[in-house]
Amino acid sequence: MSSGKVAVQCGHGAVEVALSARKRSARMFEAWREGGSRKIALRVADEAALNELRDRLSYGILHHTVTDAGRTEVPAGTVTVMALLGPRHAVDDVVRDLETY
Amino acid sequence: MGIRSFLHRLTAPRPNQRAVGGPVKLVCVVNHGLGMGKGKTAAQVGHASVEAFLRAGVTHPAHVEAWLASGQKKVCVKVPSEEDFDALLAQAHTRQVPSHVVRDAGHTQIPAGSMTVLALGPFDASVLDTITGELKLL
Repeated sequence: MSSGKVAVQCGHGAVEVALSARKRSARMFEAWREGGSRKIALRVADEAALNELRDRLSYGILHHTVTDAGRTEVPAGTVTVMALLGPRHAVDDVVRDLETY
Repeated sequence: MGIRSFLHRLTAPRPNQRAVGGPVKLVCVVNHGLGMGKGKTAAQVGHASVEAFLRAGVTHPAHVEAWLASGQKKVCVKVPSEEDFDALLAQAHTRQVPSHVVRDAGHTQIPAGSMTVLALGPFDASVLDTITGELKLL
């Protein structure tokens, strides 16, 4: 994917996970916003690695997997990004070994 | 209805409730002159998207609803410097397009206060095209 496409996919993920946090965990949503809505972009090698990461998520971490509609660069149904939102330490524990994008 | 909520209803600013006709999108204009890495850029576009839709949810609820329902179309374009944001912002104001500028806190890569991304929308794609149609895709 081009870097613009990746940025947009991250935007999708961020919006969806923020919506889900606002609905399901208002306190965490407020805390996240007050802390400047911290975001960081990391990468994994493939979709299998994303699935493996999702299986390791602890309680309290919200996630959203972005699936592309396939109108531009990648085929429809491609999983492009997974957004995680949760307490900093919990998220750090899960993504510790990943490289920054 | 109590007297206070009645008064509030009379005097509160009216959100832009006009029904939305055509497609709706969000345009993220990235300040390319900062030379941010692609991960940094992705995070900034994430900031822009979340802030833009949360704020527009108050001022332009119909547009945000249409945008969420239609797969939240987003487009990422670039401009060479933050001075280019001014003209875009001016046009957005005259056409009542919701806008939000992301300023970096300066923890990584670039100085604090840098304007990294300008988000325009979610709004009618046709109007946004007249403002950002000439810009290059990121």
